[in-house]
Amino acid sequence: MSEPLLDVRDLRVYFSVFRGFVQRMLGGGDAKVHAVDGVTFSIEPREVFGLVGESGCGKTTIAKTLVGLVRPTSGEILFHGKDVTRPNKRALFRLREEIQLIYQDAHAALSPAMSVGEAVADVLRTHGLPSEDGDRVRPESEEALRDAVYSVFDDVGLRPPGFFYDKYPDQLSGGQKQRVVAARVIALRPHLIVADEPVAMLDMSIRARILEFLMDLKARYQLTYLFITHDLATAKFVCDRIAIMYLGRIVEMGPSRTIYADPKHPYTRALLQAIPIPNPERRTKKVLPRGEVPNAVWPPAGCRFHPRCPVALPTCGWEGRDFIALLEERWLSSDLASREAAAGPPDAWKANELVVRRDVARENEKGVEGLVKEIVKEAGGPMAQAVYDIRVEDAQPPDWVAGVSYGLVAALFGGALWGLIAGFGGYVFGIVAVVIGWTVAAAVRRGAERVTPGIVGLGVVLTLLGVFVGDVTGLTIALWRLGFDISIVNVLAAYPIIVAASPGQAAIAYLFGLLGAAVAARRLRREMKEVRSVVVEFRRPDPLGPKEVEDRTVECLLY
Amino acid sequence: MTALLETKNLSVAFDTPGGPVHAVQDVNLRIDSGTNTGLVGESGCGKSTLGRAILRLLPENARISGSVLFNGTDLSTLSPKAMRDLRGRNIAMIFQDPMTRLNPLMRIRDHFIETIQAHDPRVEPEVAVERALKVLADVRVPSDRMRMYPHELSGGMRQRIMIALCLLFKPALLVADEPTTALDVILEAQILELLQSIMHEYEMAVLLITHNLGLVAEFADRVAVMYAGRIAEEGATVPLFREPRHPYTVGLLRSVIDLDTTKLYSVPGSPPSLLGESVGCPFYPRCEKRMDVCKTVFPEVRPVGEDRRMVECHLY
Repeated sequence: MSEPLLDVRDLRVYFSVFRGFVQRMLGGGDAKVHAVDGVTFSIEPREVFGLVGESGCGKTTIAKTLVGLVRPTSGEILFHGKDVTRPNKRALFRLREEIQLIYQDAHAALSPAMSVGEAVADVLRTHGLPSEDGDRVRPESEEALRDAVYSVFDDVGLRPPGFFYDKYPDQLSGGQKQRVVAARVIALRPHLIVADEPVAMLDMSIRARILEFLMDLKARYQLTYLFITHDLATAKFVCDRIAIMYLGRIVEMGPSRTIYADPKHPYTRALLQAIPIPNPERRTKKVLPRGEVPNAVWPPAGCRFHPRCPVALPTCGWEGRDFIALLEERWLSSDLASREAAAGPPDAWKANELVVRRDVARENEKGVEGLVKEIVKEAGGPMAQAVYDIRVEDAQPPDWVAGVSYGLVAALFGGALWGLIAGFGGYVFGIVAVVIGWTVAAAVRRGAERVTPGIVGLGVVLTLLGVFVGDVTGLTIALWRLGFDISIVNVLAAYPIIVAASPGQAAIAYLFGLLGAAVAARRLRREMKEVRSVVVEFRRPDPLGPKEVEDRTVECLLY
Repeated sequence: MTALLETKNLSVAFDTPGGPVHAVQDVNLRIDSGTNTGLVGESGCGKSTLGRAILRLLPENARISGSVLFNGTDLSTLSPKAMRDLRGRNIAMIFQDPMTRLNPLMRIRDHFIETIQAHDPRVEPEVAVERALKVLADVRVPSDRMRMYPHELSGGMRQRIMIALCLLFKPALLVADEPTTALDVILEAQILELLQSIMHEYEMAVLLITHNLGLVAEFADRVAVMYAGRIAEEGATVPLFREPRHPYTVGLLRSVIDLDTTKLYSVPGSPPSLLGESVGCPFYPRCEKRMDVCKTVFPEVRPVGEDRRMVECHLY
C-alpha cells in the first residue's frame, strides 16, 4: 500500500490573542500565536511516527487538530486519501472512530463519576461495536455490551475484567488508568492513535511496562501511532521515524535511527546533548544554546532557532530584536560605570523587523553611533556580519494616528462617563481636554524633530475637537437622563443654541482645553531638543525551507 | 569536621483519618558543606517530605520524630522565630513550580524587597534593590525584569528568580525539590549549570531532590536512593552507579530509558502503601533477590565498601 495513512500538508494553526481596545489602536493589530506554522509530514500505515520537541513547539496543537479538537487556520489534512481538514459534525463523529487520542494525564481523561467499565461501555454504546467487515453494529443487549468491554479489558491486561469493570479511576494506579484509557481507545478499533506523552506522568520503573504494552497493542491490532513526546530517549526506542519540532515548524525529519546516530540540525544536536545521562563517568561539558524558546506570537525572522544557535550563519535571519538581545547581555555583564558605554538601556531601542533604532539628542548622535559600531565589532560573529548599515538619521514622525485616536476616544469616554455621573458636559470636558492636550503632546514627543507651528496648531485643533465631541456626548446623555427623548443628532443640531444659552459654561470648557494644549506645547518646546535616531539595519536573510539531505529533510541553511 | 546537616533517625508520619502514613522512616542522612547530594526516588517515596522536614515546612498533621542537626544545633530546640530566621538565611529551598511560588500581584522588585525585609526589617527599599540586582546578575537575569510581574516572565526566568531569592542571604544549604521537572530538557541543563556555578561561587551545599537519575549522575557528588520512606542505599555517585547494591537501585537503574537503551525493563509490582505499620523490607514483594528473612525482619543499615557507602539490605 503506497498511500500514506495520514498526510498533513502545510498545516497552520494560529490562535488569536485578546488584546485590549487601546492596545490594538496603539499598534500591532491582532496578535496571533503561531502555534503550528506550516507543517508537512505523512505517516505510513503501521509505523510509529514520533513528533518530538519542547513545550510550545506545537506538537500538542497538532494532536488536537488531528482529532478535531482544534480547527486549523489553513493547510490540508488527508486521512486515507480523504480530506478531513474541516470535518462537519457527522464526519467528525465518524472520524473519531478512526483517529483516537491517548494523552498524558490518564486521570484527567477519565470521568471520576463513572466506573471505568461504564466509561468504555459508553463509548461503545455511542459508536456501536466494531464488526468483522469494518462497519459498526448496535450492541444487542447490555450483556453483549458488557462482554465487549470485558473482552477489551482482557486485551489490555486488566484481569480479571469483571473486577476492574466496577472500579472508579481514583481506585486505580497510574499505569492501570493508562490501560483503561487504552481500552477505551482500542474498543473502537481505530487506525491511527495519537499518543501525546503517554508515559510522561508515570514513574521510571513502570514506564517500560506501559511502552511495551502500547507496542504490543500495535502489533495485535495493526495500529499506527503518532507518538508525541519531549523525551528523546523514549522516542528513540519506540519510533520508526521522527520529526523534531521547534516553535511551530519541523526542523528535521527522517528515520529515527539515523537521526540519532547523526543529527544534522543544530537544534536536534542541542536537544540530544542536553539529555542528562545516567552515568556519572560520562559527564561531558555541554554546549547549550543560549536563552529560551521565544514567544510564538512574534517568532524570530528567518530560521526560528537562529538567536540561540551555536553555529548560526550571517544569513540565518538576524534582525533588530537580536541587537537588543545583545545589548541586554552586555547590560548584564557590565558594571554601573561602564553601563553607559553599553549604548543605553536595552529598552530605549525599538526594533522593527530588520531595523532597530534609538532616539538620541543631536549633540550625542556621533558618540552613540560610534559606540554602536564598536559594540557590533566587539560582538563579532554571524550577527555582526549580518549588519548592513549603522547610521544616524532624522527621527521618525510620531505615531499620529495612534495619538489622535487615543485622544478622541478618551474625550468620548470621558464625556460619556461624566454625562452618566453628573448629567453635565461642561467643566469636566475642559479637564478631559487638558488630558487630550497632554496625550497629543506625548505622541508628538515620541519622535518629532522640532516643535513646529504646524504641530502646535494640530494640537490645538485636536483639543478643540475633543472638547466638542465630549461636550456633545455628555449633553446628550445628560438630557437623556433628565428624561428628554433626544438623539445625538438633535444635540448636534442644537449645539449652537445650547452654547448660546449657556455661553459661559461652554467658554470655560473650551478655554480649559486650550489652556491645556498651550501648556503642553510650551513645555514640549522647552524640553524638546532636536532629536535624531541611531539606526542599525540588517541584511535580508536567505529564504528558508525544508531540504532533502540524505535520508531526511532538514530546515537549515547549513545544508 | 562536623557535618553541615545531619539527620538522626528522622521519621515523619502524617495523621490521617485512615491511620498514620509513615512517609519517612528512620532516615540518617549527612550533608557536608559545599557538596551536592542527590536524593532520588519515585513518586511517593518520601523525598519531598524529607526535604520539607529539614526545613520544618510540614503541615499540621505531621508528626516528626528523630532529629535534624544543622551545624550541630538540633532544629527541634529552636523557637518558631529562630527557625524562621534560619530558614531563608542559612537553609533555603526552591520548588518545582515557580509560578505558584511567586506572588502574581507583586512585581519582581517587590518580591526581593519583601524577602529582604522579612529577615532585616530595617533595610531600606533602595538598598534592598541594590542587593537584588547583584544576585540577579549572578543568575543571568536582566535587570529590566525587576519591574515585571511573574506572569510576564518565562518559566526558566521564573526559576532563576526563585534561585536568586534564595541566594540573597548566602545560605549554607540549598534544598532544591524537583527544580527542573516542569522545565524542558535544554532549560533543565541550563538551570543545572547555573546551580553548579553558583555552588562554587557561594560555597553552598545543595540537596537535589529528583526522580531523574540522569540529573543526579551529572550533578551530585553523593546519592541517596529512597524507597517507601527509607533510604535504601547511599554513597558516592560514581561507585554507586557503577555497582549498585540494593536490588531496588539495580532495578531502577535498569529501568531508565536513555539514548543507549536497547531493551526495556521495568520493576515488577508497585510501591507499597505507607499506611499503618509494616514488617520486613518494604521492597520484598518486588525484589528479585528476596529471601525468607526479608519478609519478617527489617534489614539494618550496613556499610559496604568505602566512603560511607550504606545499604539497607539482608544481602549484605
